Amino acid sequence: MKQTKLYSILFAVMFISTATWAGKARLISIDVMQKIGDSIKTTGEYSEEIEVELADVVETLDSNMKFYEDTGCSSNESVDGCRQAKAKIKENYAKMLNVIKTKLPEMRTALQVASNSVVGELKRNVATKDVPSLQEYLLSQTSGESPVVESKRRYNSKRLNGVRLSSRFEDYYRLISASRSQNTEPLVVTAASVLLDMKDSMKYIDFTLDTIEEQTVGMSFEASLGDVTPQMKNVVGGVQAVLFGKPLEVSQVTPHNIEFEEVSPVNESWESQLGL
Amino acid sequence: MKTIMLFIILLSASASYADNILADIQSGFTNIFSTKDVCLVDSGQASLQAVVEQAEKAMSHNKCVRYLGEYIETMLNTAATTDPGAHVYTAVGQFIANQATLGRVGKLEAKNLVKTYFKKEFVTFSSIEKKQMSSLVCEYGAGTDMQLRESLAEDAKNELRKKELGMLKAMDDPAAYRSTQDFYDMSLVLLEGGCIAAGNKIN
Repeated sequence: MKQTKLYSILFAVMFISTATWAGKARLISIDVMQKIGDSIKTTGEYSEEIEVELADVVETLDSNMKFYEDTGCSSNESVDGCRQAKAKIKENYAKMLNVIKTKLPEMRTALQVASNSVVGELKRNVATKDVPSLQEYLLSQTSGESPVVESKRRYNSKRLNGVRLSSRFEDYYRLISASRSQNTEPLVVTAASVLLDMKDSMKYIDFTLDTIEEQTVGMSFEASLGDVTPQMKNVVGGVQAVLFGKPLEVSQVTPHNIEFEEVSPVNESWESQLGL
Repeated sequence: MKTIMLFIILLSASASYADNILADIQSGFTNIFSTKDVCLVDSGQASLQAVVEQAEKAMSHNKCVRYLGEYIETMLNTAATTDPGAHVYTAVGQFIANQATLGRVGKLEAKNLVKTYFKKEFVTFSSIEKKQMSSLVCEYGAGTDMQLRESLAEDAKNELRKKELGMLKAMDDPAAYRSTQDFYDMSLVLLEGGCIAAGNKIN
């Protein structure tokens, strides 16, 4: 008798704790998301400052390179105008590399700091959970809700190409604020989405810094540098992609409307038989 | 004389042995062909109902039970091309449930088949052991970051393809499929984020 009672209590406790966890509105608290949002906002403002500093030099270099190619200078290097254009490219390129070499690591550090706060939360609230329970949580958060007007996420691509880095941070901040106020998507998914995108940005920065390193080494050995080389284009392209949102090859997935509707809600007898 | 007799005995013994082997081969071929015949469900049927009836007949043979997945795919493909709509869910679901009632497949397997083709929930995820996700579904990639196990992402993608066949093509319910697709994306983002966080040294 005592044993039966004990089991009943045990089952009740298990049921209540499972229900409490599944019924929780969020895996990440609003307060924590507020802090993450603030950190992201600060990083965004900082990246804007760097963008302003770099914008002129990168734009000038880009137009120098375009002029050089469009006027057929690559096959007429000895022409005076082409020689001048080449010298201009070299000068601006070196200038850009210097600015970037000092600013990109700072930017990376800022990104790292912002992402650390997200990592900590996901580590505590997602990585420790089991997959079936996470799925149940997501299902409980997404079914039966009113339709979400517009998907704010860009899943699959996870790269916000065509968006300035500072705008990305604005985007993140907006996403987090919207999630807080409208409760349209699980905050934890927003956080994971932001983290994946920040990781991508950091990878681009690392790639660009590595390429710059190679280029700088090349410059010290090759005094005549100034040709529009593929590596040079890579560096300029990489900087433009990371900081100024010039599109790279990965295509952006168009956001679509989401309607959270369950399939055929009619409760068929065979469904109850299978426990569906 | 003795040698001749011995030779004749050996010859007849080997002939009967060869006959036995030949009979075995023939019966093997017969089995193969008969299995193929009774288990075959024609993919070129004019209606879902016709496929369901043929599959019901085939499933009454024990040896055909292993083709259940293929039968469901044939049903859904037929429905998609002949008469897509919400009724497909009931027809195919009822067929699957019947197989469980008749004890041809387990109840859990039947339930999972319905979920695989018609529900937002992913069997790929719900069938994972209830242990800390980072220890089961994450792995180290080429870099230092932890990432979602590729085979799991691949399995989920395959299940999404099945849901596309069931919900979008056979049931002609784009809203339900879009919602499922979005759920799939969210799940992968959450799991990937969890893996990255798990592999990070920050606390």
